[in-house]
Amino acid sequence: MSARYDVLVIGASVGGLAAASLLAKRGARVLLLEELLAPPEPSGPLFALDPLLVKALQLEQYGLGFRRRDLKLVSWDEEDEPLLLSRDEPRATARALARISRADAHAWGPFQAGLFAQARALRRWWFHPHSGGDAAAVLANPVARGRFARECLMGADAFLARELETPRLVAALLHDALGGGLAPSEPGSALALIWRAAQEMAGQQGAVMLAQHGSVGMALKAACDAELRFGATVTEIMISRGAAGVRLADGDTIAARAVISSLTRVQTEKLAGLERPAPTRAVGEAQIVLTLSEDFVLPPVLDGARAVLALAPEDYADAHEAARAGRLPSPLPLSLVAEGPRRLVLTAPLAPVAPQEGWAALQAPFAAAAVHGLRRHLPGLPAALTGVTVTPPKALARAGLVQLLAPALTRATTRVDGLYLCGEEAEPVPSVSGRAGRFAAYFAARALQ
Amino acid sequence: MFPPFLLRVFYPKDRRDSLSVQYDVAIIGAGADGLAAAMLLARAGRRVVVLERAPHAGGRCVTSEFSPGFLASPYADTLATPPPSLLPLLGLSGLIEDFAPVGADIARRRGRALARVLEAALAPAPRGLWQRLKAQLLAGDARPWPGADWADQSIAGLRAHAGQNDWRTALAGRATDPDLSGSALTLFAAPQSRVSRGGLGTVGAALQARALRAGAELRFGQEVAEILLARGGACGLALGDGTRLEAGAVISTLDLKRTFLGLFRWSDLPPAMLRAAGAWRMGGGRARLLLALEAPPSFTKPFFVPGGEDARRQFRHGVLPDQPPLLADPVSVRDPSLAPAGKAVVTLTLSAIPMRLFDGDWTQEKREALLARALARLSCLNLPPLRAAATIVPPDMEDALGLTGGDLDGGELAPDQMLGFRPGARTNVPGLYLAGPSSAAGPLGLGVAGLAAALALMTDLSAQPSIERVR
Repeated sequence: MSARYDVLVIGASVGGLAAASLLAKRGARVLLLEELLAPPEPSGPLFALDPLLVKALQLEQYGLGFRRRDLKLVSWDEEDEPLLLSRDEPRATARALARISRADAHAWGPFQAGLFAQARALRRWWFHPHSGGDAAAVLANPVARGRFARECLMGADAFLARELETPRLVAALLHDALGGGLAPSEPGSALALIWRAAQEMAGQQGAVMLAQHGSVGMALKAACDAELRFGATVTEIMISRGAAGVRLADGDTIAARAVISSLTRVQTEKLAGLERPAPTRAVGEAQIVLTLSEDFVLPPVLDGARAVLALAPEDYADAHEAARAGRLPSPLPLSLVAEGPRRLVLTAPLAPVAPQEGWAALQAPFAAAAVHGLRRHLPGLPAALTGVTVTPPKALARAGLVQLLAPALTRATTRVDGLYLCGEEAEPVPSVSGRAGRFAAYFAARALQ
Repeated sequence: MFPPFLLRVFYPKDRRDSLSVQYDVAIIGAGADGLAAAMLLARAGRRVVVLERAPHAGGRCVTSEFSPGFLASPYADTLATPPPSLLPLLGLSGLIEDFAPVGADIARRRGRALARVLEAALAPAPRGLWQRLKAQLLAGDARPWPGADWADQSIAGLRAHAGQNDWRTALAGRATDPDLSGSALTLFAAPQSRVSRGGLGTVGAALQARALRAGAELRFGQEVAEILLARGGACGLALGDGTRLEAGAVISTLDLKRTFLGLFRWSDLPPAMLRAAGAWRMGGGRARLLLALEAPPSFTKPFFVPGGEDARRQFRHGVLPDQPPLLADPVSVRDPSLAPAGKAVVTLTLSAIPMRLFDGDWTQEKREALLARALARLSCLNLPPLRAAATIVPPDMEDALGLTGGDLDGGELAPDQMLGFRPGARTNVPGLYLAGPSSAAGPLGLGVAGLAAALALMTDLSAQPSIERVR
């Protein structure tokens, strides 16, 4: 029996759309199945969009424009004046740092240089589909290899505290290391920081956020030549000597030679009927989208910047422990970006995946805790709210050192031949980049030949 | 396990170079490591002096009478077993016994790690000022060390693998979070041996007797104030009373922080090394309660009471935990010589006890509060009436043993600070050797760090005709 489709893609996420578009461009017969009636809009802080994807799909002609390479980091804490860190303006950053610590103003340049040098060397390995073997092998210099061996095993808190002294600065940077559900002292969290740096160099960080809300999804959808079917819920991934198709909720079965899923590894393996799905993590990234009334004016510092609510470094360890136990962390680590003047996207990297009281009951207190955390920096926010949407963390497979040191092939493949992953989990550090979709399309195309 | 190394220890004495100084080697600290190093060097014919601040030898290997008739080892009841093949050399054959044998896998990895430490000590070090410590401290070892694949494992994840008893005793007295990946490496440093009779003091006494018999000189009540340098190398010690002592080489059994940040003028050390020593993280968080009881307790085996949900959070913020995790060990059940007939001694090892409290010093009231909280945790056991109790909190351990933060492991047992990344016996200061708990073998086996430092020193002496030529 010859399959009607070459590839089925489950979920019109950024990765799913990217994989479907790339495969359709190569001439494969692709069907994209989406559970909702319209493609979901990626939201939240975009760390980078894969530049090779932008080039391959010529996304620029569909209204996606890159305007800014650097997304400034604003650290908000008890001090009145926010601390502004910017890659493109090293002098201004050093001046801002000099106000709080001379030592850190001096250390900042070498710290950034070291971080990005390591990121530059490693991104060739991390972001290349053919990479394999040992990540350290890409580092020619023995000093860099030694440094890498230590960074692999280091917690981000120790990694940052080694070079920088102000807890406020350490905390602002620590925030980014925790995206994968790691504790600040866990091995792999320092590597997550380097991954973020590599990611930032690979794409144009922050560029998309400055475009209209929704332009990523629109451009990807416009660029997608694949057949799309909305309102199609997949209930089973059929297997016969590898992935052979899917069964839908309406009983329809669709045969294909390969399946790409933008669901999590756990969900995908469950659909494929694997007995023992991968263990899930207890801590994940939750998102809160706040819509604001017309008369609320956002502080100008948020323009083209991402703000981090800087807590004490110990508070991150506390928050991780609370989230692991299924409690709401207090204080709640938060970062936020403004997507236009009426929309704030808040990200809480340390949220419980399975809270004791269940997410239905926790959504309201969670949003309240987040808004409460911002009371000092955004006074008048509660009165200006017109809408609150909480997206609970997903039950992603456990991420850690092993995933960060895994080559692209390991991250994108499953235990079933012909079944690939292109969701956010195929990247160990959460980001909306579309790279996972490109890798999945690459491996699927190679298998089809 | 290590016969080739031991053969080289006793190399011909006629090749000895004569050092025109008062002593060939001065050793700081008469703990197990200092005594082991002194014994080995004295046997090889060196003139050795051991300087100890306390009025007695042994370091943590002591037993004290905390109440008339009641004996206990104040700092620990157990020790990390040295490799069995080294026991005769240390004079400890038949003295110590395994009480909680670790899993075969852990034992094998530990054995390989210890073999690597001794192997490194016997390998001549590369030349070059400051190059050695930099290589050891900053770059690490290129070979994957035994256990690298465990860096991502948590104790909780290994529970089934390691057996019930292991992980709890491994944790006793440490503020490690067993659920976080990397915590599995704590099992490497698990204390799995105890002394059959007389507490840890027996071990200290045996090591002291052996060092003295080999011809080492022990000086008590002598605090070292500074390591003296001449032309970049260690050439002696300045003592607290103002006297100076010339020595061809110095072995420090203090931890990394105390050795480099406490015994040198900072201007004498390169900034990179100061930073590395400054960034070294101490763990700690151990307190000990010694209880003298009127009657034997109802339990006969060590008994672990898990901590409250908030214990580690309170520890991080410098708050005395309401419900600290604790291990209760009825030591006099196994060894009746520790308590008068019909009475008993129970020791409690508490974890997650802050070195510095947010509200000031460790006062008598706070110590009493700690005792009350620990006893409340044991209320289910119906302990017999308490006759006397001694409380040893982290600052007491720091004062008594000279270990920064009261950390018996010489540094936090995090993956980036374990084994491959711990400094070895050689330091970058020519003539200065590190044998303390911070050095590679420190937390792995009693006295092995001392043996490694002595082996490294003797290897260097035979490789380069004289350390004096460096100066």
